[in-house]
Amino acid sequence: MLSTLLKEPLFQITTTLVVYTAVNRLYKKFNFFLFNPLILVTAIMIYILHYTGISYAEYSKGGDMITFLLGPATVALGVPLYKQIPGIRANLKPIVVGVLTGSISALISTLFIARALGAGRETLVSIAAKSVTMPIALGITEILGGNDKLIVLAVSVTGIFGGAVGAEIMKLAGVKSRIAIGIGIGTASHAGGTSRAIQLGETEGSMSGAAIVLTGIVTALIAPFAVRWLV
Amino acid sequence: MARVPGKKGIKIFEGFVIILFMQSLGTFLSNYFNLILPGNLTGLLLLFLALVFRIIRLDQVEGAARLLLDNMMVLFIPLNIGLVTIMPRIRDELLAIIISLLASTVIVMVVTAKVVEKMERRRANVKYTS
Repeated sequence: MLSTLLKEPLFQITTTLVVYTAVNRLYKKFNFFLFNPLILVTAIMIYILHYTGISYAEYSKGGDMITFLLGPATVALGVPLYKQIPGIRANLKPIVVGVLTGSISALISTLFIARALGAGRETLVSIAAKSVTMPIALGITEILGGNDKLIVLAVSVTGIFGGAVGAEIMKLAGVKSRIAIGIGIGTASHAGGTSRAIQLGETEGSMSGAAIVLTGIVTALIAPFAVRWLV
Repeated sequence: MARVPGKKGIKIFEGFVIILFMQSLGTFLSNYFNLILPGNLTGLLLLFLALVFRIIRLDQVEGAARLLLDNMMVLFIPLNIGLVTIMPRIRDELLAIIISLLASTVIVMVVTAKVVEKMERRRANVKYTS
């Protein structure tokens, strides 16, 4: 019964959205990292699909309709970028220098370390854009010829990690400037880190937020060259 | 008067149409001119420029953008579920992947913040001496 229903896109989409909504409320209430929807919803849905014997290919009929909206969501990032113009203009030099430094060091360090540890070509191009916000990272990865599921994992891990330890790393590194802390966290770990930067203070939050989309644009421009040199 | 309650919905809908139009235009331009930028990103820049040059107003797209961005996480779930399909292929490399992601995140954070901080300090010094 359940497995017949879940072969229909309608039920696939509804189940995904209902589970997401429930988990998201739980996460908002308890703010415990294992309740992060990216982790818990994925685990629950994998269990449901496994239990009902629905293959991923079958689930994709509905899943792809949800994924389609990532395109418009990418374009929508133009709105926060526009709203950040005053903040960016006020700190133009540190933001530009920070975003360039962050984008270049992210590509080099990810590719270099992963390659040294024995990762293959397909894996390397699939994780290169890990410091970029998810929808833009997917576009970059598509152009690089990488795997869309792997970049989603890479971006999630980076965001969750940056959000969890970003503030502590800055403290350990002895960084005092609020602007530097915000830009560092934002370029390295996009929205996941920014959610934490916001808690540190207004300057940290707005700088981190301003870095997100700019890091995506800069990384898109230099990633093809970095891959040519380092992969 | 009776139309007022529906206006908000129309605005969000029209904002969505604008966003979809920019995505299509961006994708067309990226493909046609073989741009290095993915089509969606070109669309983002087109929307941004349209706002800067007041071709469209912020309030025309703000509602639709918020609807998409505030709920963005749900849009990744299907791809995340798809991870199970590539797990057998990446199992041997998983440790290398995770280590490089975490190490790189720390490196990028520290290097970027240090560079910015150093530059700021220099800027402050210049101001002080001049």
